[in-house]
Amino acid sequence: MAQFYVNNIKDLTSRQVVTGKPIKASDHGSWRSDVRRRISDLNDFLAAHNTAQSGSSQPTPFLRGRLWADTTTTNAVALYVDPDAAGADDQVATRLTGKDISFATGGTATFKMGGAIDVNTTQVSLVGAGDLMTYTVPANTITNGGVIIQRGFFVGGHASSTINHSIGADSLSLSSDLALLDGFAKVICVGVGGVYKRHTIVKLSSDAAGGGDLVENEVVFAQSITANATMKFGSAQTATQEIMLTQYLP
Amino acid sequence: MSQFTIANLTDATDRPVTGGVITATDHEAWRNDVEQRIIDLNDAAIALSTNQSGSSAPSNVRGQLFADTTNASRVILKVDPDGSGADDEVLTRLEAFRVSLATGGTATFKPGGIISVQTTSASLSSTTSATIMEYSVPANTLDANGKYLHVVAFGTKSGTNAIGIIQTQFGSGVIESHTLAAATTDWCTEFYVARVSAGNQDCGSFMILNSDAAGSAALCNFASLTQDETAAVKVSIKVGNKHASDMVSAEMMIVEYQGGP
Repeated sequence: MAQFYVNNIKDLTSRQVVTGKPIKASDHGSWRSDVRRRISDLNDFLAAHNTAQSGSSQPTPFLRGRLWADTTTTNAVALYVDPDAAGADDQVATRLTGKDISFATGGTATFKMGGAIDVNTTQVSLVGAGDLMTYTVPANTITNGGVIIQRGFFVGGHASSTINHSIGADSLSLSSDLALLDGFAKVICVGVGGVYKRHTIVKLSSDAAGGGDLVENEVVFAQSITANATMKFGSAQTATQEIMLTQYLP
Repeated sequence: MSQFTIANLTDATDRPVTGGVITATDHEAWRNDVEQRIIDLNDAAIALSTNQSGSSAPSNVRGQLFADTTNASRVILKVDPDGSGADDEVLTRLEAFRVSLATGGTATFKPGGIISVQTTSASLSSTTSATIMEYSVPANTLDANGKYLHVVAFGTKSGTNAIGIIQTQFGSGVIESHTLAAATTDWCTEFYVARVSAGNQDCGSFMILNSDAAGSAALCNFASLTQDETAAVKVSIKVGNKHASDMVSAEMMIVEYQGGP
């Protein structure tokens, strides 16, 4: 790790040798010293540039457009660019650091990037009670305020088919009557106080069957967000799940 | 700010000396050569240190970074992916929301995500209409057409004396006043606010209730609004027209920002 201010580099001092006269040792020594100094500076610059001026504090003086690799955190590097010669404060999104960046908008609001972390399209059918699709959210995927959204599409197969959704050891029914109908469930799990809070909606293809529990407001689960959390849909009767999408929104 | 074509760097010319005597001419030629090489290396170092910053792209070199300084007080970092120009923008905290990211096809999208999560319960037990949950969207968050907000909120209704109203709003504009049947116990609303042009938004709001009990109405609506996005505008959940003995609460509201294509 090294830093070097590029404006400190200099060209060689111009030195004229008089034609026909011997080259004095002092002249030669001075020139040689000058060359060595210039090469030393260039080597130092390249060493610094090779690691994006890495260090635990940013290089100064500030230089617009320069990169800086912040090594404050052990075994991690956060890459910044200086957008305005007022400091390298515009963080570059990388595979490992992107999740932590509060991205700007046109206003002062910020957001973190998320996306689908699991897409399951392998049909799961039940004849009787059991589990439908399952996905285990790895420990520490979200922090407090982070969100996991699971969406599922189902086909009922029994007059009293139901869907349930569980997180860890806790399971709750989502719909009291899927009754031979197609259904959709959206489960929003928010990290609050170190555990998951779940909110759910269910939409059935028709209300003719008298579906109930189509909205489930807040349910607090014991499952810690710092441990692996198995999230799964299930049914108490014959049912089929066609797809499950799990989205991560930090 | 400076740029330098790295390909123009050349090595020093080999100048062997024969005859045992270094002439001034030989020495001068060598020294001039070394001086020029170091001048070029210094220029290259200065250009590299700011990632070839400038208002126009440097010569095309695959893999080369370019800090575009066209806009005052901003730097857009780009990389040349194919030797045909630095046109692949690097995502940074300040610039990512402006970048139209590629997909496998020709469609593009700009990054977005959640800008607010509220999980502190708020309720209304009186008959006076009131906002129970809101988020102030900062000025210029919707600074371009196609950008939109997606809001999802959950809540409850206790008491079965009368219907309740959940009104979704963007600023002073009402998207819909959803009617909750008296027997409702849980509700969920989602609404969208998309900028159509400066000061004009297309909005849609729908309501899903815990049951399809008779009495619920106005469960889905589209509205065109004219709020000023250059100022802070609130998205809000307002409760109204309920019985004094009933209580309506909002338990959670998530506001998601999407940058559009």
